[in-house]
Parts: sequence; structure tokens; C-alpha cells
Amino acid sequence: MKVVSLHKNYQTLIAKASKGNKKAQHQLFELFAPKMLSVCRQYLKNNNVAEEVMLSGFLKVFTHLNSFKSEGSFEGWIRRIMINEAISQLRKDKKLRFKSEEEIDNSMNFVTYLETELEVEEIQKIIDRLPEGYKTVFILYAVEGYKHSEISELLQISESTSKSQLFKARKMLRALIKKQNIVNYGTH
Amino acid sequence: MEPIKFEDNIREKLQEREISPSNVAWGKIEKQLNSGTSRKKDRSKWYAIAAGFVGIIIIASYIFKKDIVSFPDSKNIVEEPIQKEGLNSTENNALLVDTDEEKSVIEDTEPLKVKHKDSNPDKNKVAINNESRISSNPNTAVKEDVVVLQIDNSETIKISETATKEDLINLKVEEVVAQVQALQENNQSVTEVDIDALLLKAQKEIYSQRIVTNKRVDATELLHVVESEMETTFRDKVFEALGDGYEKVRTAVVERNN
Repeated sequence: MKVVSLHKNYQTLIAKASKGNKKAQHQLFELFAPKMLSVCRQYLKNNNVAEEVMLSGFLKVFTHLNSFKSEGSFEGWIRRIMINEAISQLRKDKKLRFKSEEEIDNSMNFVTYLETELEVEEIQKIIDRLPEGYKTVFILYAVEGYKHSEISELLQISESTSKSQLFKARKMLRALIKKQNIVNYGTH
Repeated sequence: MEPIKFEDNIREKLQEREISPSNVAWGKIEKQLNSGTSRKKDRSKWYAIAAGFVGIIIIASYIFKKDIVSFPDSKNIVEEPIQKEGLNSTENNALLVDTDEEKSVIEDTEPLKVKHKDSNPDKNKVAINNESRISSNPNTAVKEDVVVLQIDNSETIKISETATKEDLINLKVEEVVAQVQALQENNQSVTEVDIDALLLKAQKEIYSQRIVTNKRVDATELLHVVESEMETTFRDKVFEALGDGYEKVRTAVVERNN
């Protein structure tokens, strides 16, 4: 019941915001900005830069609200815009470099098990230590649920490069977690 | 306790995470949204200005094109005589002859300007009809107009020149007649050669007088003017004045011309 009313409220807000209603726009911003800042922060180490990217993302959201089709999730639509903005920022800073395209054996997926749950700050710290390429591919795959084909299209790389980046990211993450002695190993 | 998958843990934690933006965040967006709106307004203003400018250019080009389409007539009027002047001097000279008929045309026709020609082509037709003797083809109508224009520009000068011409011719007639009579009184036979010599001398004197009085000298024009005058005005006057010897002199002249 609450979900339905919330959805209706979104629709009303979106309709008003698309007509330039500042109050509706502000309400949408208040609703989604904290989550979207978190999304941007996953890709960008600097909080201020992440916020700037989020703001430019919201600007695009408000200026392109008419192109949003109510068929899909509004949050998912905003999220995709934020991800694109974050990747654009990384490209602008020339931080996205994908050197290796070596073939990865996907027959065995190593799964890293934790003895105890990690807090989000700890997770962020570990992710921040990854090279940009590894981190971006890992977040897109493991957190956002993108397929390698989608990642290759988004980052303009080959699928094998995407797989290679993911493999190396996992390997590095396991090593980083091992250092903290909170890790078990197993096969999936 | 069941082992925790690292990637599941990351996904859950990161998706649940919320980071509050700074207090000025919304203000920045609002500012950018407002400037975006004003930019749109400015853009539409510039589009309107650009559209107006393009419209002016199109209208101007249309007007100029129209002028260009109508221009060839006036261009022919101005240019053709100049080209013909250089190519065919005899044809041009025929146009520049000061006959009585031409004078009447000049008097009848109002002072023509190029604009008037464009606006009222009937005037050209009038000139063609009056001077049908000279203008055998349509192109000559243009030449006639130029002659009229030239005469119109120096109208006052021509009038005074005509007056002095008449005086000069009369003077020379008297001189030639006196000389012929003097030869007859002296009981000398007046031959064709003598008359020719006298006429040629008088002709040269008139010609030299013209050159002195005229500001602009065109050798061909002057030669033909003198020749025509000799044939019409001056020569007739000499023969009339000679009276008795008229037939004799005339025969001599005709034989010489043949």
C-alpha cells in the first residue's frame, strides 16, 4: 500500500518537476540525492568531486525529465545517469586505463568469504585501494549487476578486457581482505 | 555461523548506503537551473534575431536579383554604343552628324536620363521613329539615345557653337565668291581646278577654326562634320552666291566627286 502511494507521489512530483516546478524538483532532490551521492562515491574517491558529479547528474535529470518513460524505475533511471556522469568524470581525469586484455579462465570463480560482515566504510576503503579500471568494472559487475557485454559497451572496452579487469579486481580484493585476517576461501 | 560472501556483503552495504550532500548542494543546482532557463530565453531571442537577419538577406537578395534581371536593358543602353564606337567608326559618325532632322529630334525629346529610359521605354520608340533614316535596326535606337544624351549634356555649348559655325560659313562663302568674281573680272578663265582649290582652302580654314573653338577634339568627328557641311550648307551657299557660274561650278564638283 505504501509502495503504491509512494509511486503515485513520484509520478506527481516527476510531472511537476518536468514542467519546471522548483518545489517538486527540490523534493525529488531531497529524496534521491543521498543515495545518488553514495553511487558517485563508489567510483570517485574524493567526496567533493563525487558531490559535484552528483549535482551535474541531477541537472541532467531535471533537464531531461521529459525523456523519462514511466515504464521503468525512476530511481534506476537516475542511477544510470549518475553512473554515466561518474565514468565521464573518470575519463575526464584520465584515470580510466585498461591495459591488459589477457584471456581469463572463467571455469573457476573464486568466491571470497568473510568471517564477519564488513562495515560500509571499511568496504569503501578497500575498494578505494583498487586501480580505477579494476574498481569500475568490479562495482559495475558486482554491485550494479551489469553484464560484461554491458560493461564493455559502457566503458568502450572488449568483453575479455572487462573479464580480465574483474578477475584482477577480485584477486586484489582477496589479498587486501586477507591482510585484515577476516577472510575465508572457497570455490563457487 | 554461515560464511558471508564478500561480494554480497559489498552489494547490500553499498546499495543501502546514503550520503547526505552538503547544504549548498541544492542551491547550486537551483542556480544552474535558473541560468539554464535564462539561457534558453536568450537562445530563443538570438534565434529570433538570426531568423530576422536571414529574412532581410532573402528579401534583399530577391530585390537585387530583380534589379539585375531588369538591368541588362540599361546596361545595353550604356555599353553598346561604346563598343560600337571602337568597332565601327563610320556607323558611329553617321549618328553624330548634325543634320536638321536630328536637331528636331533633340528638341522634341525631353532630356533623357538612364532612369527615365528604364521607366519609360516609349521615349526610345519616339526617337527611333523620328530618326528612321539613321536607325535601320533596333540596336541603333540605343545609339540615338546616347547621341541625344551627349547633346543634352552640352546643349548650351552646342547652341553657341552652331551660331559661330553659321557666321564662319557665311564669311567663307563671301570670301570664295569674292575670289571667283575677282578671277572673272581679271578675265581669267575659272576652271574646275580653281574652284576646287578655293573650296578646299575655305574648307581647311573652317576646319581649323573649329578646332580652335572646340574644347574637345575628335578628328574623325570633325572631319565628317566639315565634309557634310561642305556638301550641304557651305557648298550650296557658294554656288548660290556665284549666280552665273553656278552650273559650271556644280558640274565641276560633280565630276570631281565622281
